[in-house]
Amino acid sequence: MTFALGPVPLLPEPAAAAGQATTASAQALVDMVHLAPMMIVGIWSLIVLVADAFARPGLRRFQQTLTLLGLGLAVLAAVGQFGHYEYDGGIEVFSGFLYVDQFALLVDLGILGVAGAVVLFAGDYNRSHRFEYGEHESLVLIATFGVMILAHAGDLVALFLGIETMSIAVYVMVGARWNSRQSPEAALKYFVMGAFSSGLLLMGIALVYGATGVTGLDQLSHEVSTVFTKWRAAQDYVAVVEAPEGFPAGMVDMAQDKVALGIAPAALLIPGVLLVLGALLFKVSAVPFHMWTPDAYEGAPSPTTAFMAAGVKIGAFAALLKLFVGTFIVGSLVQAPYGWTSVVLWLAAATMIVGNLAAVRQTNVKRLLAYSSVAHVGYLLVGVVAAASFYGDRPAKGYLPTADEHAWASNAGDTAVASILYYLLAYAVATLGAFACVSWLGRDKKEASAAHEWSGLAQRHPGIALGMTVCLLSLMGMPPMGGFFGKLFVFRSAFEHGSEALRIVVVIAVVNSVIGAVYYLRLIVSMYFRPPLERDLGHVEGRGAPVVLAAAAALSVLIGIGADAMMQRCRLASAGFRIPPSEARAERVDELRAQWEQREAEADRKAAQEEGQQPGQKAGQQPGQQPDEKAQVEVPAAAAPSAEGGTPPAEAEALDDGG
Amino acid sequence: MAESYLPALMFVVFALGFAAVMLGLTMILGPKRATAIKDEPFECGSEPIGSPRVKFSVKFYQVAILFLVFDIEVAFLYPWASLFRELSCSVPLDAAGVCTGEASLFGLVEMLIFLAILVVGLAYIWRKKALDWA
Repeated sequence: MTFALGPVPLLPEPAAAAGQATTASAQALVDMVHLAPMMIVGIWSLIVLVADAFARPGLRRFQQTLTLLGLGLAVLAAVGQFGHYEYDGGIEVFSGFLYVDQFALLVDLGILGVAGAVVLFAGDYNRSHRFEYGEHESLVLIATFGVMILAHAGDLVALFLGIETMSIAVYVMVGARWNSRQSPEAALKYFVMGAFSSGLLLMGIALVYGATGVTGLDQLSHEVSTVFTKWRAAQDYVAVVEAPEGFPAGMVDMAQDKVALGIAPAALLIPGVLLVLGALLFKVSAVPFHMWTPDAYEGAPSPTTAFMAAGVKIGAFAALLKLFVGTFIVGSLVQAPYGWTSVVLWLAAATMIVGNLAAVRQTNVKRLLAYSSVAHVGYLLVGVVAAASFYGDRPAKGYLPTADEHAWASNAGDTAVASILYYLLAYAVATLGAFACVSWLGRDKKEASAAHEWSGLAQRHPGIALGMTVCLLSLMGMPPMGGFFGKLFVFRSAFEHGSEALRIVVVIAVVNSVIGAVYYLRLIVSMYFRPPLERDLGHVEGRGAPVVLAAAAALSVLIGIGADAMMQRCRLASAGFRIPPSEARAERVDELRAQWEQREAEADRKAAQEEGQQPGQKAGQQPGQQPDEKAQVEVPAAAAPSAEGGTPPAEAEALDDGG
Repeated sequence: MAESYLPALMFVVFALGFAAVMLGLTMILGPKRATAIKDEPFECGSEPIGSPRVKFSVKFYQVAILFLVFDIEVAFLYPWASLFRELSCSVPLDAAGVCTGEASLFGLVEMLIFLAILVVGLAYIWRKKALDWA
């Protein structure tokens, strides 16, 4: 009977494993439900493609409606998910290949809005310029799907897949205008450069994998720090290897091993990270990787340019944030002398200077907006550098961070990420409006995108000129439009907590914003104060572009006036951004929610006291939050002030100034 | 660790060096007597007719691209088929390769989804007459 003891403890194991595995296929279904917005867009892209193939010709309207229906469904799913407590800590789906967290859901909402707007006005444009094709809606959905993969990516491979899915669809859309010479040329330029940068990205991913042995982002952030720990440990043995005289042979051997093992991974990791960085900077079109931007933006059909300027930027910045703010944030990798921030900081400065100075000289509105988008990338990169250096600052100072410093770093970093998100959304809205206007002017294979053709636009189309003016002012950074608060939040978070170099670059950025005003205002002046052309260049038939322009102008003002509420949503999306999906991240989000509850309760109490009534019983409604779940946040409310410590609650100030 | 890449480096150096030496030696040592016949493009001995820059119909590329898609499909199907026993078992196979747990539809459904997407593509190119040669 004694021999039975052996197998007994093993018995439950297969059963448990079986239970796990049978739930594995069920798990895949649950994961798909978590990814509902993405799945809907992916499936819808196929449905729309088949509908185009099987529908009778002349059913384009139906196809547009079908696409908008799918996007609407995805938006509904994303709205239901965003801000929900379930996603506070982030959920890993498909075994960590993708994450579903508040950040990804907010980006989803942004890109779905962009896609909806593009679908709204692209149909009219394509029809008017005689190159209507049924695949357009499907391609927009595929590109949107790619951006959503980027937002959700939890793995380097997912990131690459997302970038490729997005880019390939966009290459086709850029070259789709077959009755123009510029369009295929732009597509070819964009494709060759883009394919090259994808190659760099893949090479970088391979090197990073070689150095760390993992591709999952949360393991990577851990492994990257291991690489540097080993590297630092190897430094002690370098002296022994360089001057082995006087050391025992065994020690010299060991020292050689330590140095080889410590230095080789770092020697792979640093070039790998730089290659990945270069590829992503290409996708966001930062100097010196911006050369393709004006040509591709000018040659592409205007609705596609709108998607590139708004959607692709959102996706590429989501990837940049995920990798370089969320993952590669070990002190030695971020800070000088080996860190990437010291490079990107000056690239950011160069990007805005080149973008703005080149934009001043443009005579074509599309090229002007292309260079202006380059300049905006520069401003956004300042935020990226700020966020990364806050998160990764401590170890570079040579001592272990205290709890207070940890709290400070996470707060400052989270606020910087939230500022970037706010800026991105404000920029995307204004850019969409501007390109909707560009696409509306001109007809019959001829776009009216030369700057002189816009003179006196306000006399002919006052409504359009007004909408365009609002969008341009938002891009310029005029209060109370969204663009102003975007700049304010990004520059402020960088200036308040940043290093000296960062502050210098912020000053450069502010000067650049003023330079930017030159070309935006010049366009506005020519629209309002120049006589109109004798010949009316006509406009695209259909209401899509005016509707999008009006919505974009209204939204630009709205997110400016409601900067407080908007920033709060961005802050929710960025809370605990650095931390991989976990309980710890959920705790940070809970802290944040508790702070808001407290502040709102205080505001209520004050208001009630002023009115001479009893103190308010209930806290105000939180955005995107179900009332019945409020009870859950009461618990960590007490813990919140202690965690906040003596550190300045940066985001609280930013929020208070917002409104 | 870095030393383990030494053979690869040696191979690269040797390959480049071999090619360079061979080409260099031919350039230096080989006699150069150009005649009209020797300067002709090599066409297996027959005399070249017409320009080498012939326009091909774009349909060839179209067929090649369509072929590529289904070729890659097979490339995916092959490893999937060889792993199918493991994919359709809810527990890892034992040493003899026998499934001790329940049967699972996971692997089958995964591949069906992949195939369904390709079938959508096939239906699309069929309806768009990309398969018609005329």
